[in-house]
Amino acid sequence: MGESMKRLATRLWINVGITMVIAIAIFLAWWLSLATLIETTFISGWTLASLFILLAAYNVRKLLTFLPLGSSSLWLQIHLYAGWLTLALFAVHIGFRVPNGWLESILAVIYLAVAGTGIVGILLSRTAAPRLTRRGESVLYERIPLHYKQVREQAEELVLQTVTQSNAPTIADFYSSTLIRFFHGPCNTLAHLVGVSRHRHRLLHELNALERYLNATERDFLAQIVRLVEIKDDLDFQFATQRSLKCWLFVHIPLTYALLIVTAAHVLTVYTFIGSAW
Amino acid sequence: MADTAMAVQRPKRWDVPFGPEMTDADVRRVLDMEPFSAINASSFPPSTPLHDIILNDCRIERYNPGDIIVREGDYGNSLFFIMQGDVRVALDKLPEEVLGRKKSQKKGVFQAVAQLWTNHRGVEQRDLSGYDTKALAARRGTGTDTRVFLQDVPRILEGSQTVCISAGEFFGELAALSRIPRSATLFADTECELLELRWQGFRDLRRRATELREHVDRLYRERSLSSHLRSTPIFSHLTEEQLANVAEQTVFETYGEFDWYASYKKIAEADPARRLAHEPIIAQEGNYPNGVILIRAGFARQSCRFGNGERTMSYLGRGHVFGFDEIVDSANIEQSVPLRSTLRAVGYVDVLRIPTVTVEQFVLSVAQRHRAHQKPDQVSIDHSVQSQTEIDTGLLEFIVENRFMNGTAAMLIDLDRCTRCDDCVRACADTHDNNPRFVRHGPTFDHYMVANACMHCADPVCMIGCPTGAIHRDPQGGQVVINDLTCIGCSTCANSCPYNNIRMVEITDNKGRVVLEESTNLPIAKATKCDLCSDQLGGPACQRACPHDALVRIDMTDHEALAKWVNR
Repeated sequence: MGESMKRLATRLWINVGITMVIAIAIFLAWWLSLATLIETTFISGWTLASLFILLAAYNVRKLLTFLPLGSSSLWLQIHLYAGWLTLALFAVHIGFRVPNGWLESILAVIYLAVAGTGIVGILLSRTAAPRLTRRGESVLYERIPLHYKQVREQAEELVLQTVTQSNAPTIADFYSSTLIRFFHGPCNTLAHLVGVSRHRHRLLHELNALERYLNATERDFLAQIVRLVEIKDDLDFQFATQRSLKCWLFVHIPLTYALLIVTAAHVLTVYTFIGSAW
Repeated sequence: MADTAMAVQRPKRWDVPFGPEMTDADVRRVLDMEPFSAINASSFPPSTPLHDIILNDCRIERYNPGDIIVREGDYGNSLFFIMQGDVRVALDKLPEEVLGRKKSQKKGVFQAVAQLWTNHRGVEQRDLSGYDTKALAARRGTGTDTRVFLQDVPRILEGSQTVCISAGEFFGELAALSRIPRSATLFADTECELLELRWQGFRDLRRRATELREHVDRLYRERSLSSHLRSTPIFSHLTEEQLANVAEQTVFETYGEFDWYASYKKIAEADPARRLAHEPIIAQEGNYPNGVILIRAGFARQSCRFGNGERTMSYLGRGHVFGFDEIVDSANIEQSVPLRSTLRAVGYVDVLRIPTVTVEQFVLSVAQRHRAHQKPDQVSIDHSVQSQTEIDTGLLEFIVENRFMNGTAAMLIDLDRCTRCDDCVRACADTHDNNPRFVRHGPTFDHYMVANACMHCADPVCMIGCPTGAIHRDPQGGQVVINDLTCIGCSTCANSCPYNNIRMVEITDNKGRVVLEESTNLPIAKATKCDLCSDQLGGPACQRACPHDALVRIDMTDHEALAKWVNR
């Protein structure tokens, strides 16, 4: 890779430029084929099928980590821009019309689902990573349950201490009515994914409102509980975001295999009925 | 719980002597031998008398014929004095397997692909047939007292050149003094008795015993100074005669502590002023540059005054130059230019100081001509200055405080790009028999993380004290690797690693059963760490597996590469 390609922004613009040029060339070729009445469906179809195989091959590359088959990042770049190109090719292949056969319709729906999950995935990858870095402690996904347990135990310990030291059940009651659910496990997943933090403000507001009914000792405990609420909410954010980063692939990859199978069926069908069409 | 402070005695230097078995009789015996008998005991201060140095910083070791004393490429912090018997120096390289090391060999394409089905499914499973002791380097003793010995010495040395050294001679002084790899393998030729002197005692002896200092300095001047100077760009144009003159005038200096790894984490927690107080000053900003300083081993912090503190501009490692620009500028404007920054020892640093007069005599005219042809922004010859504006000061401070500049292949992760997909961890496991050799976790600064993966340090303290030589540098690529077959599980390397990047694991057999030692019935442990995929095709799998260009294995001493990566 050249010196200039090492700069990520430069690489982005070069790759986008090349993809745009190829996409425009595809549209021009299609437009010319309309004018010259040359049949291009088979060319676009096979090109599309080849691109599907190339795109799926990235997953095979990921399995063969011990072979010098090029870096995964290079493969991802090819995967991304080849993926964008399939959108142009797909549009050309179906002639910018909605497919009417049931097999073609299924194929189109699966393709759009694969493309859609791919786009969602890359958007997630590019936006979630910096958010994860800047919010809460950077924790390993597998260790999040352990962190949950530790935070819950600390909260419970604090609540017990408030009862024994202040002899008042105010915080304990609030814990059993509201906080016990919050500390029990992951929550507000959707809110974290869409970047809404209303639940956090509401909970902190309720804790703040409780302060006026507490004595000095209880207020000290409450401050510690507030800190734990913030830690737990950050953990929820880490859990929701890291989970979404892992889970979108569980949709994208099976759909890719489904796409390959239905594409094979589509090719078979086309060649079976090719004689009757001509 | 009551927080009552517990009073203990302040630890003293010799609380843990090097050789607990040393007696006063042993000390008297040593002091009766040349050259120790010639040392003037009265020149030592009452706090560190000669007798106590020998008693606490020395140990007497006995070796049988064939026992390996030091291996070529190993790191050590002690030197040896032959009290009795003969020691043979192998001038040629001995086979790696004989020394208890792993033969450096990359997998072929078929072997690489075969990992798909040959990798064990369980954790840390081993094929026990590989542990056939007959196939391994011969060993005697147990634990940290284990010794590897050469079997059938005439056959091993067939065609190799050797030299015999006898009672009254020293060896290993250069490796002990400047933490450079041992330059040859030495083994006992007859039954012999050696006095091993650790570096702390050696430093004191060198300071007070003129003969010893002159002896060591002469050895260094003869053996490696000229080649070191020759490899430094500012001296590369000199003739042999001029180089010899420069070498003659060169002064050797050592700053800081060899065992920096024992205390740096605690120091890193202190406030900046106290942290700096632990770093001895080599050259002070504003002072007259009394020479060019070449870093020979270790690391130094280059900083300049900023407000009431010091701002780190760069860190310097082996081969870097300090103070040259000021000398050149002084000559150009014919007026003394003071040092623009301060140089401090981080941990320990071994420097060569070439006096200003010598630089002016042999180097300056060429350097001035060189500068006349350069643009103003290209004039710096000091390696350190080049990247000072390109790397964020905070990141530099983070690297220095955590001693990450020691890493020649540190795993740096850009958390703004890392999606936590763990493809790197999976790739590592795939290439290491299903066992990942790092943890994707570690100290972070801003959006950079230095993960818990072996950094293949420039100063590999983990390699000091391995009794079988199982941990060593790969002769091909220089990576620090462990020979699983000869590792005895003593944990010396894991305990020494300042970054906690070596893990001890209990091994299991092909059926997943814990492997026990016959005699003690205790589980057999092995040291494991990242080997930078030294036996794989294509280099580190972790870096190649990262889809988002978030992970890099980077030489922290290469400022240019680091600046380029962080400023992508």
